[in-house]
Amino acid sequence: MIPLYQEAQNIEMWKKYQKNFNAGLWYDKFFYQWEKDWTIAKDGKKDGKKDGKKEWIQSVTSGDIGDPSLIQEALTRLLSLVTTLGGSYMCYKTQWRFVTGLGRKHPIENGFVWHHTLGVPYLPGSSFKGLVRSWAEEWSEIDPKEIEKIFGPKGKGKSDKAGSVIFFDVLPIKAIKLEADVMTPHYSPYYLQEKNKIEKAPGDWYAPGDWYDPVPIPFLTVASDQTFVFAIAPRIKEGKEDIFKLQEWIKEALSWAGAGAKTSVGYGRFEPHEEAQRKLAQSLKKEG
Amino acid sequence: MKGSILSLFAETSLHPGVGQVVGAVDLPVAREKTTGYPVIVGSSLKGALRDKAEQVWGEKEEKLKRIFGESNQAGSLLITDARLLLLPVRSLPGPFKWVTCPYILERLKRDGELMGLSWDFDIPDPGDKALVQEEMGELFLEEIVFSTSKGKDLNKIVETLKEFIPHDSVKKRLETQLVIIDDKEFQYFAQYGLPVNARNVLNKNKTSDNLWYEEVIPPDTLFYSLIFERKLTEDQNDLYEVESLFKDSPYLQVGGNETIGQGWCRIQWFSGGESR
Repeated sequence: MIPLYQEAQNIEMWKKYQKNFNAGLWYDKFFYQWEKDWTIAKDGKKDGKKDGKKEWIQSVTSGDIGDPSLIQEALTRLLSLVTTLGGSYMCYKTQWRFVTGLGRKHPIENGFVWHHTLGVPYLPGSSFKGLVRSWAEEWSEIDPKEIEKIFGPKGKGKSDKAGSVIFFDVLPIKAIKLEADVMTPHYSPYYLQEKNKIEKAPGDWYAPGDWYDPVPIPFLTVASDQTFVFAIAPRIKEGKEDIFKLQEWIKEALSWAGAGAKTSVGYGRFEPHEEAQRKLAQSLKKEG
Repeated sequence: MKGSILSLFAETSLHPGVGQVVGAVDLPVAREKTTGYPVIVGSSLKGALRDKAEQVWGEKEEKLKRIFGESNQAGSLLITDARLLLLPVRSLPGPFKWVTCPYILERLKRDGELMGLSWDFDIPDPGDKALVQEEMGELFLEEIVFSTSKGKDLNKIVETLKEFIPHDSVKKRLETQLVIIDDKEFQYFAQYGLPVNARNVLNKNKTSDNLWYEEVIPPDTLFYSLIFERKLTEDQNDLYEVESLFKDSPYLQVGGNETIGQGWCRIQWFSGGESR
């Protein structure tokens, strides 16, 4: 069932677009796995029903996502901006799965971040900046004053001085592979209670017991071995020397702290992809 | 009075904000009061140009005061709001279409006349259809379905709009991606079709300290502004001076969120049918 007006309810009509579509628009707005009572079908071995959430995720995991020539163009344009500003870019590939935007609202519980015009998963510049900053603050022994200079001061009312470096949106280098994954919380009532702690009376609480049903929740991820381009540029003249430092920090941050969600269980780790970097540099030279 | 058109083509997302408001989106983008279209207001654009000038010439340069004004003297340049020309809207088949409407085209024509440019395209009337160069059956823009119809003489509009676009690859795509819809329908996308990013700051425990929703103007959006020069002294040529700021780098940063890569426009000047 589809939460749309009648004229737009013909699923077959959309299915023909699946070779050439904005996966982000599709994923955000065209969910059609509802039952009559607005629940989503669970894997029912008895009634032969398929898991609605899983089915839905599979609608974007069958082929590569994104229009290759459009991605190439976007990247060429972004990197010519970055080069003009005196910045630099680095190619990294996912070591394992990578997921971001889990907190966004979606009928299947976990959302996903899509680039608006390209319709591909990406890492927003704000997340890129945040992950490097948090690595620098928590994992390294870098002087806090230097961190503040590069990333800008933290907290409200201190925004009079911006950081010295610009972090751009992180785009994939070509059309990209997505995969379905499953998380299975075993102690849902216990976790939920943690969230609602304040409303609960003392004494009335749930233990993380073995007697709860495990609940499998499928979610969408970027597959491993997918290459992304991380670009930075100096915002002011003084930022130029920070670029070299940051290249090292970014490498460390991406391999140790990771990007996106679920980094504590190994998601979002990236490793340098030098061959892709060489090829990209060559193709940019060709296009001038 | 001498004037030029400045076109701004978004290379990254833009956030010309208006500060915090009470609503579903905490930080929306600036909009024109009457039409509801996203806009880069003149003061914001002027500030961005001044910033660029200070970077290139240095803050002490004498010309700055004459061109951009000081407290007891208005500057020599008159800068209008940057008006919306093409809005990228997500689509099926995708990934997006450049959408515009009769009102925007009419306004463009009027503004062109002001600059002594006469474009000879006719203002189309899409009715409830979506006008395209090549008919394609049904077209979804966001969740709204349109039936398409081949617009008459659309190529004249395409040719005119191409003048505003700096990249050859983008010019080529415009032929297949331009869509013209009714003013009323367009207003819906201008209001509700922009990307909204959820942002927050995580604390040491990786839980969110604050969550806010921020609206941005997507990359590939096209704006234009009219810039006039007032003669204050005999030998000034300030329009030319400002144009020459962009010789080495044709980029201008407007609006907020600079350090997370937003606000970068590729710019282009033209007057009298000649683009630079």
